[in-house]
Amino acid sequence: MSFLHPLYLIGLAFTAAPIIIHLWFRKKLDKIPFSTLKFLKKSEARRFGWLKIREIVILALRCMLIAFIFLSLARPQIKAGFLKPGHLASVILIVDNSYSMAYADNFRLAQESIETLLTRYSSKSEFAVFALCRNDTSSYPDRDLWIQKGKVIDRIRQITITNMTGTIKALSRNFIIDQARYSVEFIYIGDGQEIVFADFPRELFIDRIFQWVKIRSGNNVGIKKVSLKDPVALVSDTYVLDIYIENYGSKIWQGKISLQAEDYVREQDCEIQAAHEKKISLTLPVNINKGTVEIYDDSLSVDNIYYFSKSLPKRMKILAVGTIRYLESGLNPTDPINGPFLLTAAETISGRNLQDFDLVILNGLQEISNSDKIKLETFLMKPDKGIVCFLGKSVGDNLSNFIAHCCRAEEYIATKGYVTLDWVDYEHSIFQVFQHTNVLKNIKIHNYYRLNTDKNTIAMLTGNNPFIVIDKNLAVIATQFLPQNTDIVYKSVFVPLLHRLILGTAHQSRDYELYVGDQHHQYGELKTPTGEYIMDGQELLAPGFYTTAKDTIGVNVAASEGNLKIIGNEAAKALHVNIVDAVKDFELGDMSTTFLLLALFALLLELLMLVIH
Amino acid sequence: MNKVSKEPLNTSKKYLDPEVLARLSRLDIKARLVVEGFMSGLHSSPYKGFSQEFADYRQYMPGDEPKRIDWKVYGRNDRFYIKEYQEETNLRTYIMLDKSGSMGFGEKISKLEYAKYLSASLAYMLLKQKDSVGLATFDEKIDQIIPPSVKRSNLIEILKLIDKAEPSNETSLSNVLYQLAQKTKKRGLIIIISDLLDDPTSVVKALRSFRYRKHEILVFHILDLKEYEFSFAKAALFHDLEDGSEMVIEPSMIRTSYQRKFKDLLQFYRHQLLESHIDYETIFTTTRYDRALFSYLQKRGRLK
Repeated sequence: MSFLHPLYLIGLAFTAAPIIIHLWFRKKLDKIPFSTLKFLKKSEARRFGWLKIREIVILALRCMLIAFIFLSLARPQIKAGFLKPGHLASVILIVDNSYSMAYADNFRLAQESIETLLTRYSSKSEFAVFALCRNDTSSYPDRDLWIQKGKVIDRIRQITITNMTGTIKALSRNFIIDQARYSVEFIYIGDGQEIVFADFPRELFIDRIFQWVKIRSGNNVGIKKVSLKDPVALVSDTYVLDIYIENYGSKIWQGKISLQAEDYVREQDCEIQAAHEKKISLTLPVNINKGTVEIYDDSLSVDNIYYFSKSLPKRMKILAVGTIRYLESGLNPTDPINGPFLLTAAETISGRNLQDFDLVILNGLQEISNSDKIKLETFLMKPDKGIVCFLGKSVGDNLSNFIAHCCRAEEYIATKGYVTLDWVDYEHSIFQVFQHTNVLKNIKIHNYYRLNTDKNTIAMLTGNNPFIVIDKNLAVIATQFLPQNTDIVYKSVFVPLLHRLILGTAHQSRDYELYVGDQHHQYGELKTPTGEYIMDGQELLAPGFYTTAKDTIGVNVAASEGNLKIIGNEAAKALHVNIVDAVKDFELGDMSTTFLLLALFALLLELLMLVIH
Repeated sequence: MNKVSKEPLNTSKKYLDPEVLARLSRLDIKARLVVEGFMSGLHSSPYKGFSQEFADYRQYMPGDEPKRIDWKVYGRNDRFYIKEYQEETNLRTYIMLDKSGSMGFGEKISKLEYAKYLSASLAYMLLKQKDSVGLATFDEKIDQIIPPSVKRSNLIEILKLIDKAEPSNETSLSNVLYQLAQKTKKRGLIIIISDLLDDPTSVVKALRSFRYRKHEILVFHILDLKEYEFSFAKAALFHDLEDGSEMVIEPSMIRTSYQRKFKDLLQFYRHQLLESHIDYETIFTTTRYDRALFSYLQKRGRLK
């Protein structure tokens, strides 16, 4: 215990005052020699016993009253500790520098805790300091692993907060325990997110002390994701964003959610029960495709900004090769100028510049030329382009080879009756809207190709035959949408299904976000929010909007980092991690109020004793 | 004439008052004055000829003192007869003087002072009537003892011993009585002058054992009025004269209870001792000595 105003401790000498006064008054009392008190004591034993106790108690209360008042004035500061001073060990110190530690003064508290912690260790102890998350400035101690106590603070000060995540498991590769001179102990200082303890290498810590100096985290409310409600919906004037917010905490959270996109601002009150997720849907105009969603009144606000950037389909140019009679009816724009599709029909691919189109439909083509095959393959390399291939009565070698990475067309089946869709992956974005209907179940298929694939089959016919297979941006449908093959062309589901199939293949409408720590590959040179450039393959280091020549990409702190989920005490104990509270065990607590209350209590007790008299 | 003749009587009687007596210095004089004062008051009392008892008449023989001739008998039958007195059986008396610490208590005179004068007076009177008298002073144990004797010189020794008795230690009367029992084989009279501040049950038990040995016992329970009434006015630090312990006491708080308990104690002694045919007298330090001497004489009378 230390004192802010230790001079007041001199006043503790006054504690003796009641005793002196008591003795003085006792001395001042007439002393009467009496024959014997034996008889008195005997006859009044109980009363004298009580009076004596009462006298002692009152005296003690008076002494305590004075002592508590002076102790209160001296502003006592307590700090408990989990180590006895002079502790000798080789200590591996893991400092959590993940993004969540930026909350309030947490990182500073962690550094101060380390300083306090160091006072408990003998000057002979050695330390290896590790930053949990790697960044440029807080490198692993590849040189001078074990340092003396005096150098620890300098090493700690070199560590800065990063936007990355880290695990003890990943870090443990750097622990070189063999060179330790003393018994090895581990101390992790941080807020203890679950991810930190992921795949915790218990075997490393068997028979060794692992202390977690717990830094208290803020409220655990976080935006898990902001995604398009229906990425394969036909976008007209508006679209819907789903904002998923999770309250990881143990209390109900009430706050505001704000969506900002340049001048466009939407705010909404929000209330989330403890340990619950809430989805908030906002309808936005199609011209707002990037912005931020932010949670207010949350303790960890830095983690609650979500940079969203959505890719919304513009008017899609479609090249339909082959028979387009029925497709045309499904894709024909109601508004020829502003309709979602601009359909171009062609007999063959040859002579067409595919770069002018967003999607190519191969409708019942039996074969393609070698050059067409190469053109199509080149076309597919762009993720926002797509090819939908309806298989005809026969599949030529080139066409077969072209779709081979997706599926193999084995045999054309002409059923005597019909088969139906036996199974549909309603979780897939193409079918999500049909989930609670049976419109797909009633479709009859008369003729189809038997496909063999281990890829992503999203619909199957009776007999476990794949009907629709999608691999990235190539969709293969086992039949042509013609009346002799299927009655779908007469059903109301035909048009929406065709639209969703096209939009789901071309991936034009999609969440366009990355996470801190991701390595980007597809954008070439990216301009960071701070105006610097990072090249292909480099890690994204900070949240914000990154830009390319034509795109804007929102980069966010990973949900596992930004949306705190602290490991529970029980879970930590199960890992044999000893928990030490950085506030209780390290932070100085002002005990003056406590002592003042104790003084008041002593006074009340004394009054009570006097009243009893 | 009357006034003149009464003067020595009044003068001698005044020494029966403890306060007056306390002003005198020499103990032997005090004892003599008390006894003389007491004796002078006995002329009209029924206790005549306490020292000698008539036994028989015999004819006057040459050599007999003429003053011993009974002239009344000569007048009736014209013969000289001498009155023969039978010497009383020598009564062995032990005076047990308590000099424990508690006996030092007293407002005007201490209980011990009172007890000392009383002891001296009794010794003087006993020897005067040819009884053998001894004295023992005691506290926790017998301090000093002078065996009973009828010699005049014994009185001097007794008075010396009484004179030097100072209050000290605790009382353990029961223990002392057991000790004395070992020393006194012959029957006799035991006069106990004490404040009896010991465990009452064991005191009574010890006294009964004396009675069992056919001893006669006379107990003078010496008390101070303050001790009885506990009439202290204000809170004070009470100091135990025996064990030295101290205690702050507010008398008003405990007076009633104390008095009740003290009376119960006296009742206990009175009841228990009388039941055992042990004479018991509570004597306050303000009580005149003749009362105590009367008590003795009553007892002595019963022992003839």
